[in-house]
Amino acid sequence: MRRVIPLLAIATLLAAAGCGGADTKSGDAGDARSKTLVYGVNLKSQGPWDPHVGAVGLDRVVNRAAYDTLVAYAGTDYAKVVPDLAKEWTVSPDAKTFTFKLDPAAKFGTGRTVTAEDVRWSFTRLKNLAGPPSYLAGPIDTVTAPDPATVVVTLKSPDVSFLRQFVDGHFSVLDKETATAHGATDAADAAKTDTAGNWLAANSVGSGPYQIQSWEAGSRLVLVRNPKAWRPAKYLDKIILQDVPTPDAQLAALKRGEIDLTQPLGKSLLEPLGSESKLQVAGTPGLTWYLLGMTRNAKLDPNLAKQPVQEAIHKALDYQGIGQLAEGLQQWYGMIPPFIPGGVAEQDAPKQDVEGARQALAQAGLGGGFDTELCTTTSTDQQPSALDLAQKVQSDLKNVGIRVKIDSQENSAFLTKYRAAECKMVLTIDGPAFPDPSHIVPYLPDGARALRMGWSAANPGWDGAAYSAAAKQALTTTDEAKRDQLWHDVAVGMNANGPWVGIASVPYQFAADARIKGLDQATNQVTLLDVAALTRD
Amino acid sequence: MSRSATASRIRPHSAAQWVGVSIIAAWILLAVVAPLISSDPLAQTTSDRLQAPSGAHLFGTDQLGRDVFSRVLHGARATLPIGVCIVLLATLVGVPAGALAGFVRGWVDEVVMRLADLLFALPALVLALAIAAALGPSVSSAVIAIAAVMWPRYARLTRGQVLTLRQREFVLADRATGASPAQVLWQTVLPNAAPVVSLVAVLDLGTATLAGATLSFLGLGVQPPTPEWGAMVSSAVQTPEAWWTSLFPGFALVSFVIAINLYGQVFDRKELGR
Amino acid sequence: MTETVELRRPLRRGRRGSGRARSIGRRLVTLPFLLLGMTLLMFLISRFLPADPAVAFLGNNGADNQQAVDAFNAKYGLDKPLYEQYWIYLDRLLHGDLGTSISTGRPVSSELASAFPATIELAGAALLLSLLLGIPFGILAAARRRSVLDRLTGGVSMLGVSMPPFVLALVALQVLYLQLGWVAGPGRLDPFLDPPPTVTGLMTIDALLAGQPAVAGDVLHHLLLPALVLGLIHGAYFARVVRSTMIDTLGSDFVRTARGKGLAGPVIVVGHAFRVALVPTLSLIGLTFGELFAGAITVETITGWPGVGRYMYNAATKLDFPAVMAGTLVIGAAYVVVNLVVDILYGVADPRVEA
Repeated sequence: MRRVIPLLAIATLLAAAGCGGADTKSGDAGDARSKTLVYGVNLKSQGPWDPHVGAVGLDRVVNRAAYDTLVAYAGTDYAKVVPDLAKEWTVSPDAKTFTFKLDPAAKFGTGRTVTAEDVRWSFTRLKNLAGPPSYLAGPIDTVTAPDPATVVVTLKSPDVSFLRQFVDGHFSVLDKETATAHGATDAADAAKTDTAGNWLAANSVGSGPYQIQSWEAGSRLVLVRNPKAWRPAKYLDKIILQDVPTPDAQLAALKRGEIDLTQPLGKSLLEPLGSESKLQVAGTPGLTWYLLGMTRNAKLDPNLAKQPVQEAIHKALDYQGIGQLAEGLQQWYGMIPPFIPGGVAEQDAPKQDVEGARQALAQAGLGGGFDTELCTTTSTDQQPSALDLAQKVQSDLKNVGIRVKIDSQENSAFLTKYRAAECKMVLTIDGPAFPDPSHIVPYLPDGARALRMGWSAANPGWDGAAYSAAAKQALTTTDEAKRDQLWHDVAVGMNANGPWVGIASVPYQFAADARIKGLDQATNQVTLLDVAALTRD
Repeated sequence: MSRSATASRIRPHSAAQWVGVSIIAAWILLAVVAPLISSDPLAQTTSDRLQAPSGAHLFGTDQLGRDVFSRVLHGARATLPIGVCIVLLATLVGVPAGALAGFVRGWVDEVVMRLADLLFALPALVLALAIAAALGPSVSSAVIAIAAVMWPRYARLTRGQVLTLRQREFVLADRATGASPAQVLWQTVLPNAAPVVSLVAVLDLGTATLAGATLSFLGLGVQPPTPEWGAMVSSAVQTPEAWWTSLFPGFALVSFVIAINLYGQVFDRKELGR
Repeated sequence: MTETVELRRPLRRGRRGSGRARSIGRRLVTLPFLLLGMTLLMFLISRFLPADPAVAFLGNNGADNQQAVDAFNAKYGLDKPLYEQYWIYLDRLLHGDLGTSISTGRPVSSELASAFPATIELAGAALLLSLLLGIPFGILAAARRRSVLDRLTGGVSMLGVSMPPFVLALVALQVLYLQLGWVAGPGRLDPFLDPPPTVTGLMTIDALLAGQPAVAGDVLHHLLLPALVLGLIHGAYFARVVRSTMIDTLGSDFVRTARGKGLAGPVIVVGHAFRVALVPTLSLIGLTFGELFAGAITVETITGWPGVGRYMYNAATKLDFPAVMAGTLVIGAAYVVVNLVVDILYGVADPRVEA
């Protein structure tokens, strides 16, 4: 609605006045302003900020600022796990036991030393609170603290990649004493007896460089420097997360100096900023990705569950056209993206083959096509939206005779249907917990996602058994190259006729004031943004 | 009031009303002939996405490379009937309920009117949103949801009409001649209440169209890929750099509602109420 | 929202004299039942939503954890039969507990307590703007019928009445904020400014009380965009209603009598006719104010004003049913009370009632 004709003339005439007013605001507004970072984001449905409860997006930034985890990534290098609260660690040969030695220098904001008991208590509370992120602790069998500086975590089944899970902000370590004083508990019935939710939603008890000062749900979160931080923030004293709901409002506010950072934006919005000397664009590849699923449950859709039909759908998709749906869209070429070890490279990418697709359909006795349904979400948090992509898939499949009806619903209604395994086809936006090829485990037979498509050990279809065997081997293989190769082969195999099509992800890119420095090392896909590492010129 | 009086009232009088009628007629015509004068509104060319208006694409293209011009024209086919359906459904529920309440009185009156009070007191859009969400997003649930918050208006109106009419001589005369209550209601009272109710219904078309578009804007009405004006504006919010994707459907919606309101000036407010 | 004002504006209002007093009395008696009905209706709707609240809260991955799903259902009583759930809900409500928001884990009452004043502030500002626009233009248009001003007022109010609020809000955001920068952006206050200590919850007043006129000015600057959008739309209504009532009144007997007495035109217009025209305006104010509580959903959402409308929309899209039910209840109650007050004032304002 930009150039509304009658107003255009006025707009041009008065643009000068508008710019003049804006400049004074972004100018030097004193030291306090300089040491404050204003992060303009859509705060809708963000929070609470209890690391064991919150599970949506921005809590990663807040967890990183207010809390510490056992281990971390060094900037954007996902191959390397570096010390955080833990100074060193070992993984047992059977890939089931992880032993961490804590850094004795680590102190909470209260001045207390971080002990193994705090770690044990925190991980146990994460599990027993039975909140949104509690599933993360599901694979853990026991957590023990044999001495104040040693933590031992054992898993129920072997998984070498689980070390990377401890980078996740939900495995943040809380000060047990302060938290219990406000009603927190790690008891088995914590889901019922823990009463700290309201307090922890707007306060923090961590060892991170910042502390939560105030929170007004949906509109403003203020973090201030932790005066007793064992690793103080580099420069900024105050971090404000300010609600600015729409991307273009964020850009406008950024240009006027009202905010310093935007949330991730589409490339088409960021591209024009290249010429603006006062702004910069920063980010990393994104882990939020679009995924197409097809049911293997013949009772739900007898046509769709056939091997030649799934093969036909893989061939019918216009991968190149999908890549044009949004500028900067990162194509995956399979279930593991090229920027993760073991990922499918561009030369192995699936190609559109309309003729081949039609032949495969004819082979299945469906030369005349058939009707089916595709579930998706109406969420517009990502660009392109799932709905746009669903319409593209619909049009590609129509091309080979498959008539798809789109059933788009509000996100949680969509998830309810998808989770109930009632979707014939699904186009979902998903996000693996950490950048490791083992993220495809839930999509293999008997995995949580695969079950929703009716793909199980009992109904493995033409390919499931082989993938299950490969996965079992990969989870215990400590040799990185060998492990990556195993996962790579599974992903490439699924490109032919598997029930999933890994489509693309959007880069995690945002715009910032050019004076903010250190963004390149402060952003990664797991913690999103480490505000403590930022400085301002 | 007699039927010929109603007919003369429905005929446009002023220039503004003629403009209104012409725009309404033009939209109906465009909706009918849309397939003949524009291309396929669903045809995607992703390489041509978000193209500014040009000779090839009069109104530009949207985020999937579809022609906005043909989507706006075809959008009329989805948008216009929704308003009509909402008003129809609301009157179909509201008029009998109101007539019954006014004619039978007693507990029926109490139940209907208290339900109407209840629906009046709740925030309409939230209620419609919740109902539409509960029914699952589709055109029919949007229509039902809005009609559900709109019918009490017709119930109250009809009840008021019936209450006035039942004391009038010709109704009393009918009853005196031994006609059954149902006959009196059906043959004498309702036909006399009809003109006022139908005038209000015509006036409400604009509002109903807006409400339908608002639900579609919020993702609970017409489902993609079917073009609908509210839904088109909604998806265009995500691409603010392409002003044409929201301007044209938004303009279409406003022009249609203005046309109805311009035409609605035929009826003076005081004729309806008192 | 405008369409909602139209959706339910009763066409007939106003019993007079003792009938009015009885009607008000009856409404006071039925008020508790009305509120009870509201809770029941919202409760039933919330249970028919096609989405599982546990999934809405726990998310795609979190809901794979059966232990978490069970704990959630137990916490919100979703594992109990429907009538029992409703009973528990009512019981808590009677004890002043509006419930805990599913999406934020905080008491709904405290969240509404911060969102509600924001909406009252916006509704008040929008109402003020709409009256400042609607009444003078309505009167002038009626006094100078068929003049350029009358036609212009008619045209603009037609546009205002026909404009979907979401379209107007988008246009205003683009033009006034993004292009021209005349109004401040989303939120209630510039992010660098600290909010004044809460006294009334209305930030403009709190800032003045705290002796911070600069902060009050900034709040007003932020208030301008949503208030302007809502004020224009509702102002269009006022202009139409005032105009048509004034035209009626100017032609009526008692105005002719006044003219006969030799009173000057402006005196008649302002002193006599306007007082009568105030009556429908007043009843419209009640309805509008009530609608503004909830009706600003799309405007608050687009302009980022942290009021009840935006809160409810966020809650509804997360299927946060305790928040939606409590919000609806509070808004519904406010709506009923405002209209009751208006009805009482109605008798005071209408000169014919006294006769």
